Parts: sequence; structure tokens; C-alpha cells
Amino acid sequence: MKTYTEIALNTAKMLGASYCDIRIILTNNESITTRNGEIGSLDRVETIGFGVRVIVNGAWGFASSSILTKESVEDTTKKAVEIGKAGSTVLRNRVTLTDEPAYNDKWTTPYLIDPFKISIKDKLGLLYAADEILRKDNRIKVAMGNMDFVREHQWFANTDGSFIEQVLLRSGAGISATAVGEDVQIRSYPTSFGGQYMSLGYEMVESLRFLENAERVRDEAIALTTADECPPGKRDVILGTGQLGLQIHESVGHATELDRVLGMEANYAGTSFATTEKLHNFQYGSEIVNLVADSTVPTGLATIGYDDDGVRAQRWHIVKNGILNGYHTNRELAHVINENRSKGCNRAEGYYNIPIIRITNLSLMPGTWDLDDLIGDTEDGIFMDTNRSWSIDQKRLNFQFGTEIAWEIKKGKKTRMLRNANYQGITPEFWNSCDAICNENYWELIGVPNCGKGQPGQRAEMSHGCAPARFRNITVGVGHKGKSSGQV
Amino acid sequence: MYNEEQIRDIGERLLKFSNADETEVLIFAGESALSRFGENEITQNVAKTELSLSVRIQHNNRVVRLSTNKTDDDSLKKLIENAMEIIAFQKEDPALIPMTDKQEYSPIANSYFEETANFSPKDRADAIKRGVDICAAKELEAAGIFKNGVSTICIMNSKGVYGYSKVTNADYSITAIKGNNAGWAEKIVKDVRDIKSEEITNIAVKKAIEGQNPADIEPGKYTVVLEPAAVTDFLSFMAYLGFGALPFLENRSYFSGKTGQKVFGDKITITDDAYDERSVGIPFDFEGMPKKRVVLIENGIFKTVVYDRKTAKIAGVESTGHSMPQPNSYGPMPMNLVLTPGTSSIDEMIESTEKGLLITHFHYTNVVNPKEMIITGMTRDGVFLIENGKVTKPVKNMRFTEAIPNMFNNVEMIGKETILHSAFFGGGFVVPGLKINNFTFTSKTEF
Ligand SMILES: [Zn+2]
Repeated sequence: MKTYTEIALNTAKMLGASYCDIRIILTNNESITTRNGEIGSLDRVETIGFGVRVIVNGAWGFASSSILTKESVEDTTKKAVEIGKAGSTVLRNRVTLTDEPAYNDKWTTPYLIDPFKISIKDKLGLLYAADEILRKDNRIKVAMGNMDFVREHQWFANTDGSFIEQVLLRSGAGISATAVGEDVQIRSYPTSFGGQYMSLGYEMVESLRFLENAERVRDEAIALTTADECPPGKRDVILGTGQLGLQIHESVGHATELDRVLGMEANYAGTSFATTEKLHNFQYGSEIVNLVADSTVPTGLATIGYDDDGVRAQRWHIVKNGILNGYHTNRELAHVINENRSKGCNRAEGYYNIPIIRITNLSLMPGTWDLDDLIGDTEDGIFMDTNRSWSIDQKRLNFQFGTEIAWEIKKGKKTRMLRNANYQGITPEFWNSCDAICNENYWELIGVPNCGKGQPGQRAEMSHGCAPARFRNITVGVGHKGKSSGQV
Repeated sequence: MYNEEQIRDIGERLLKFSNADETEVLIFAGESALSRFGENEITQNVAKTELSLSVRIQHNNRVVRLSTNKTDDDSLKKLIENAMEIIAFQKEDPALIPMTDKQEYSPIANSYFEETANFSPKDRADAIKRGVDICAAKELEAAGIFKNGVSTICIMNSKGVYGYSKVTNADYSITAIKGNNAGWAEKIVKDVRDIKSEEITNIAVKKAIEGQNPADIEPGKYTVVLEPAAVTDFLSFMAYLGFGALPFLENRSYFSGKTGQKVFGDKITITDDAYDERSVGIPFDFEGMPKKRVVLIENGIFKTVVYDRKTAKIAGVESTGHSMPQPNSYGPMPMNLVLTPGTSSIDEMIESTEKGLLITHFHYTNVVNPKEMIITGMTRDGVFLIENGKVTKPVKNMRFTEAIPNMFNNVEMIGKETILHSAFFGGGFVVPGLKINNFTFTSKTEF
């Protein structure tokens, strides 16, 4: 691979580029879906390609190709330089990168069982067995199961002298049941939208114990179709990890991506209320709220050795004791907040995209509560879990989330099940209303495998660790539907 | 860039290497280029040439799909070998539908433009510069994209199916920003010569300037004038929640059991029409069936959903040619919705409104309840109060939570101008603006 990377770096330098990096990526992907006892999809994909990024006349240029030959690397590099030169005509500030040491290293996701070595037969066997349990009741109209595995083998080299080889492995799996009666209700396990995803091997799938959980999932989906609707009003809310993970993602993760904060995503993903003058003085949440970004946490989906700027993985506070304490940054923008080193958040989807700032693993640090004690301490509340719907404004202030399942809490006891539960709030008000977080025994990482950002759109993955937490006096039951009116 | 001969050659080689009962290959090829700008300067400039192929094999009543971007003989042979190895482990499905027989497709006119394919990084930079200069002169920050590309889809199978489609697209989108508020405008076209970046920029600039210092407003029910871009999300959600045969047959769609019933207001007619010249379409679906024009809603009456061969068999009807790549777990979907335009201009809608809101577009809309088709989302980049037939002042953004059937029952006027909106899997929707009464906003935000 060094032959190819050298060609790119030398060609770029010869053509006047002040910086160049090349990423060669070999990706293997396997995705299996079962639906009602049949194969929903079974797809294996292998792709190879490379992307070359240059800075020329102070402007970025980027080009990629799926044909990995010496000739193609040279041509693609020339194309990147040409594109950079065209872009430099509409330029106010020359791109400068913060310093980073040169690395010669190899990094691999730690795992036990290579998922690509487990037979399709075994994988389908497990999904079909779960499917059978889910469909034992004919009110379940759709039973789904899925597994996804990705291995990214990448080689990175840049004109700073780095040559980094990484093998990243990610596994995901989940099951769900949709019951159709008067209402349509879905219940998923271990969480929604494809289940749990981690940087692990097939051992993660085995640890999920689908067969032991399928019956409960099925019964909850059926029970939800006749459960009472979540009533509208203001209530104390306890969020389970299957919802709180996404709350962190949307209302803290995206809000602290420095490119958004600076307006560079204004045309699409949006901007952020968490502007730079708020750094170190803005009360983002209550004093017990500590949110830590960590690209090194074991099994996190964004756990890497180095980002696509060639910056080594790090850990830092985004919110410390309730105060805004940091951002997700890259080598291009870190200097804007007077930092002399990037936090290593620049990542690209595949070889064919230019890296942009992405949320890394971002977690709410555990508190002190036992979940039973927390419920016992709640007079009139709702426990909500497993995300079903999400929406948030472009500055990341007004959000509204719906969950698959909820239970009413009355006088310290979990009582009736509620369907179509949702809650709405404004980000800083919401995090400032957090008055209790469960302890580390309840803390788990929730994988987000499908975070979309950028133009052209890019997907990235990251995890959010959390334990159930309580938020006081929250608006719930938005759009509550009267039994017969059909109105909202 | 790959031409038809090269693409056909890849498909033919692959079919030749396969000894399976039935083999189908889908080839996606394309060139796309995008320049992105922010803070009045170009921040990203990317170009990609891609070719990927996806093979479906059915053998002894079993099915598998494998994909790759490697097209040399050895890689194709290995792909088939892998597929046969995987397929051997699967259980038989006696209900598996054989692949499609040879079909004829009607050509779709005006879908490929040389000018769009050849638009260079310099051309994009020049167009962006013209837009950015306007913003800079008014002391606004501009962010946006200019992209152009060619996408080719080819389907072939061992039973003689051959379909080939090549379309071009270009998109200029700009957000003009001043302080906390912004204006937005976009144009998506097949022929890049239809994009005048100055004109589009001026719309965004006007909205940004007029949108300064928005007034507080309380959520509740409002008459709304939705510009076409604000209507697109509702069609997209309807396509995926309601108009596909799978949710329909499983009683998960709002339209389940409502065939022939009045579901929307009289003025509403929605078709799926890949042949509409305002749209961008492919004349075949992803299992090789010819795409039919389908009337989904006619004068408010629900007529039918779209089918692939699998769901058509279950329902006892014919495929409408709306299959996604098989096998899949979500069923067929419309890719070319056309909401039949009316006779009103946006100005006429405003003039006829005593009190209401003019909406530019929505942000981050999502499903609250799939069967009732209740959707939530935020307004974005320009919300204006209408009083006594005139736009009087900008107001802050709000969140709506509304059932799509309510909306389409409360449509008072339909726009005569339409826009092209990109839809999933390379489709396009044709969308006019709407004036809707009693539209429900449920909460507000700070800007
Ligand atoms: Zn995201």
C-alpha cells in the first residue's frame, strides 16, 4: 500500500499542494434481515477504493476512485489538485491545520469472534428461532430480525509523515415485533432501529440472548395496542437508556460539533445554540450533568486509534458539572476556539467522502441512584424507554421525542403501561431539570449506527453511554389523540 | 465515465459466469461532483466516479444477494462462487417468485443533458461566486451547495430482461444568514442551464433580510401558506407510510381498508408517474417490471397503492412496477409522486388570507404515529405572519404536530407552480405549494 500512498503524496507536492493525505479503504459488509420467517434481505458487499485530499492555494480539493492502480492514484491526485485550484477562487481564509505528531502505527478493534467466519446458516438459524417466538401470537403481523457486520481496513498516509493502518470492526443485531389491532405498535430489542451496535465481534450478538427476550418483546407489543394513550400535561420523566442515548446524541452531540457551531452546516444539518462565547460559562445542565466525549472507550462505535485527519483518539469533557466545557473539533477548526490541537473528530464515510466533524462516543457519567429508589422517589411521573421518533430544530433547542413504551409512576410505583408516549422540551431547560442519574450498574453504551450529516450526505456511527435519569416537570403527550376524533 | 456498452459488458460477463437457476444483476454507475460553501467561501469540493453491481441469485428455491465495486473477471467469478456457497446453507422457500421475463420499456424523454454531465468544478465555482457576491454585498453569510451528476441504472437477468436508464441532475441550494436568522432557497433540475444562481440567491437573501428580528408567536391552529419546498416532506412520508402495498396489506397503512373511500379533500389528486416530464424517472423497477402510471388519490378518493410482483401476488392484482431491489423487507414504494397542481399563485394564497403564516420549509420532520400518519417537525429559514392579505412581519420558528389526512382535508388552494424534489432511490416528486387551514403548531423555540 505504501507504493500507492507515496505516489499520491509526491504527485500532490509536485503540483504545489501544501498538504495531502490519502486513505485507501477495503470494506466488507454483511447484512441479514429476516421478516416473518423469510429472508428480508441478505447482502454481502465488498468495496475497495481511495480518496485523496489536498490543500492547494489554501483551499481543499478532494477526489476519489474505486480503481486502485498506480496510474489511477496519480490521476485522482491530479484531479484533487485541479478541484482545489478551482475552489481557491472563492476563498476568504486559507485553510491551516493544527499540528499533530507523525505516527507510524497499526490499530485494530479488539474482538473475540470474527463475524465473517460465522456461517450464514448459524446467523439465520438464530434469527428464525427468534422470529418463531415473536409470531406465536397472530396479532403480531411483522416480526423482524437483523444482523449487520462491517469491517473497514484502512491505510492512511499524509505529508506530515504519518502512515497509519487500522482495522475497525462493528457488529449490530436486533429483533422487533409489530402488533396490529386498533392501533399499530412496535416493540424492539435490545433497542430500536436495528438493535444494538458495538465495536465488537460476533460475541456481541451471542450476548444479546434473543431467544430469552423474544417472548417479552412480543407480549409488550400486543399489550401496547390496547394500552392507554400517554395523557398530555407536565410530568416528571425518567428516561431509560434506550431513549436517553438518543437525547444525548441530538441535544448535546450535534450541538457541540464545532463546524455546526461556526455555521458551516447552516444549509443542511443546521447550526447550534451552543455558540463559542458560551464556552466555560454556559449552564448547559444541572450540576450533576457530566458529558464526556471519548474515542477510546472500549466497544464504542466511534472508538478508533486515529481519526481521518491522522489525529490520535482522545477523551475530554463536553459538559463538566453542568457547564459547557468543550466541542467536537478537527485540525482545520480547532484554532478558532484557540485550541492548538484537534480532538480527533474528523471522520468520513467510505473512501469517497471528505472527512467532516462527527460526534464521537459521548456519554452521560453515572450518578448515585438505584433505579428502584429513583422510581420510589417519584410521586407522579412517567418512565419512557426505547426511541421511536425524534425531531429537533436546527439550532438543537426545541426537541420532541417519542418512545415505544412507557409506564406511569404513581406514588413511587410503576403502574399502567402507556402507548404513544412522547415528550417535548428546550435543550438547556431540559438538562437543567435533571435531578437524578442512576449509578454505574445501570450504565450502558447505546450504539447509533446511522447518524447523517453533510452534503453529500454521510453516515457515521458512535455510542452514547448512560444510565436512567430523571427530568422534572416535562411536557408530555403532545398530539394526544382523542379516542374517536382522529384529530391531533 | 462508463458508457452503455461497458456497463452491458460487465452484466453479460457476470451472467455468463453464473450456473444458477436464475441470475439478476443491477449495476449502478455514476459521476457526481459537489462544491460546498460556508461563510461565503468554498469549503469542500468533491468528485466521485462510482460503479457498483449487485447480483441476485435464485437457485433451488433459495435466494441471495451480493454486491461489489470490483468488475474484473476474477472478482465476478468469485462473487458468483461466494453466492452459491452461501445459498447452499439456506432453507428452501417454495413460494419464491421466479425472476421477471423479458419486458419492453417505454423511453423517458428529457432526462439526460450533456450540459449537466459536463458542468466543471470551475463552472460550479463561478455560479457559487455569483451567489456569494450578492450575499457579501448585503453583509450576509452564505452557506450551500452546487452539485451535478449523472446516474445510470442497468438491470439484466438470465431470462432476457435488459433495462438501461441514464439521468442527469443538478442542485443549487443556498442559506443566507444574518445573525440568528436565515433565508433559504433551492432549485433541483435535470438541465443545469435552468439554474440561475443569482435568482435563487436573491430569494434566500430577501427572506434573510425580511426575517430579521422575528416576533414572538404562540403555538396553536393557523392557516398556513406552504411554499412547495414545505410540502415535500408530507409526500415523502406518505410514500413510505401509506402508499406501499406491504403496510397496506398488513393493515398498517392509513389507507388499509379504505379503497374507494373519500380520504382527502376534493381538490387532491396524487399520482405516481415516472413519465411526467417535470419529474425524473426510470421506466422499469428493480426487478425489471415496466413502471406503470398509478393514480393513488383521485379528487380525494383513495384508489390504490403501488405493487411489486410479490405483494401483487398476495393481493391478486398485477405489479405496478414499483419493486425495490429484491428481496427486501419494506415492500414496493412510489418514487415519482405528482401532487396535481392547482390554479393559484403563492401571492394569491397570501392575498386571500386574513390571518396566517407563510412557511419556507420544514426541518427534521419525523413520524409520531405511522398508521394515523401524524408527523412532527420544525419550521425553518423564514416564517412570516400574514395579516389581511399581506405579509406583515417575520415570526419565530414553531413545531408542528399534525396528521397528514387532516392537512389534506383542509387544503383550500393548490399552487400552479411546481418544484422537482429529489426522492429516495433516485426518484423525484413534483410538488406545488398549498394553502391549508387549521394547521396545528404544538410548541415554539427561541429563534
Ligand atoms: Zn446524528
